Amino acid sequence: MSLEFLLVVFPETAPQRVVLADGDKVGFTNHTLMLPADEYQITLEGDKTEPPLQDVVLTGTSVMRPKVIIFGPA
Amino acid sequence: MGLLRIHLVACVLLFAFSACTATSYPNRPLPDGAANEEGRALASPPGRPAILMTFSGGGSRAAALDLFVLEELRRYGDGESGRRLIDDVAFVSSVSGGSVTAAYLGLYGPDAIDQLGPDFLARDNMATLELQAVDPVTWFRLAFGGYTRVDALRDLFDRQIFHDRTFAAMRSQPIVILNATDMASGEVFAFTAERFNDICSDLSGLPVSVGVASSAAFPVLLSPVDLQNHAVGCRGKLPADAWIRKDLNSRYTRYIDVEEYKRARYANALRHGEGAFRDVEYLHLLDGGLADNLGTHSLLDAIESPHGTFRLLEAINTGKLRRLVVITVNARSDPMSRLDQQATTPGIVSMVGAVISNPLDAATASIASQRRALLSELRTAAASAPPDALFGGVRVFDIEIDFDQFRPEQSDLQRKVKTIPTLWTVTPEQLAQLDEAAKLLLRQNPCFQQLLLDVGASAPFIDPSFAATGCPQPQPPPAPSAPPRGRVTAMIPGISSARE
Repeated sequence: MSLEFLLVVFPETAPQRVVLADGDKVGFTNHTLMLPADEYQITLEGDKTEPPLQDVVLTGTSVMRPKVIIFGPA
Repeated sequence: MGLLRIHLVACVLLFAFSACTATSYPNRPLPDGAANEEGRALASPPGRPAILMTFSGGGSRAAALDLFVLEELRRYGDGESGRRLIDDVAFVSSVSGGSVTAAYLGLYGPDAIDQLGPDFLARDNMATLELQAVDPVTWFRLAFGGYTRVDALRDLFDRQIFHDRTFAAMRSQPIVILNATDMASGEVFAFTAERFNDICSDLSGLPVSVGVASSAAFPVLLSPVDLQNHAVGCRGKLPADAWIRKDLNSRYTRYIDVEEYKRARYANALRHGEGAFRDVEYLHLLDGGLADNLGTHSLLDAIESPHGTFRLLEAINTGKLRRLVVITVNARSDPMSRLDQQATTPGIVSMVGAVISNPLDAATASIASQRRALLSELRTAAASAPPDALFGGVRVFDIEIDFDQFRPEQSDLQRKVKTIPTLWTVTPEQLAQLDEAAKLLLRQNPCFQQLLLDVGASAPFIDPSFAATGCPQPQPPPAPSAPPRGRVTAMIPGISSARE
């Protein structure tokens, strides 16, 4: 198992949101996160987002080159 | 030779009378609508380290070494607040002999641990077990009373240290995880709320001695601890199995994280979930050391599993945890082997011993390297984190206590402690040697010295240069006003996700 890196981007004008991986809290938006290599369904806690969820396969990242996904307010 | 003969007679009697015993199960099903709740959380006060420990197997040798390491942690702390390092121990995962000390700490707390010495370690427990083995009452119970060989050990624990206390009596801190091995699958079976939910069984009412005896049920000498799986027709309220379904149905998990996939598959089998790969009606638990003699498996789960109960990675990701300390106490013996001088082909007894101990050592070495790799990854990530990462600058202390770490001038003590046999009796002289070993190995460890420097503790043995070189730590993160080291270009949809 290896550690991978994920950055979930959410507009900075909106309040910071909690990032959920398969429904479990793993960190905050706009801050690079560490997670074990795996496939995750990423959602944000709180109000609806666009898209509502994103499936990511976390592998092959590094701390300086995280997987980046973007959410916006719905 | 006389002592060996008594051991053999006791064993033969126990084997003979336990051959036709009926099986009893100490675990009860969850009551209607109930679930095991994990009320404990892995947390440390702001500014304090979170200390996670693992205790290896090794009978009373291991239990004593663990105790003396804990006493050292109680000796040092923050000079200003008076908080001791032992107060920062947030988590202990243990196996076999280590489970005695872990459970004792979990039940009675850091200020009562010294009593483990007179209550258990200073007693001739092997003599007590042997006397019990030659007692006709024991034979009767073995033959007709559903009593097994491991129950003798469990009774010893209850009489001397646990006094029938159940898991409900475990303190909230530190979180103590006792680990056994599922005999059929070879999987680690941890005594946690989560695992007992999988088998729809009440953990809170289970005697702690059952967990410790399971963790210490050394194969052949002791019988396994048998549990009944109550998942079929479960009337309890089990937590959702969404993570299990997701991992088992994922297209990639089995390839990029096979350990996580196997965890989900095992949990699904215990729950009798859809497509379960095994039909688990009963569990037969043996010594946790068979799967992992350091208790590392549950430690790794606590740190990195995003679906587990404790999820330390979330605390690191959100900046709540700034110092992670892992202390691994390995009491592995390494006695001289007569085989090295034996010209003839080894016999059955030697081979059985090798078949048990060599794979155990190999499995333990393998998972220990996983721990080192994970902590090294965390340390590297913390040292090279971008400005937005809240884990930047997290300090990681990997403190291994191992009899192989003695310095050349300490070889006499090393030889003595490495040859203490794996029994439930240690002599006063051996206890003194283990006490000295714990002090030396901890105080000589560069990461322990670095930790003491970090928390502002003073001790005459600290060598700052040795600590900095042997346990390098990231520089403190830049002040908020400092210019960022990079910028995120992916703020605009469709643009590359790479950092510049």
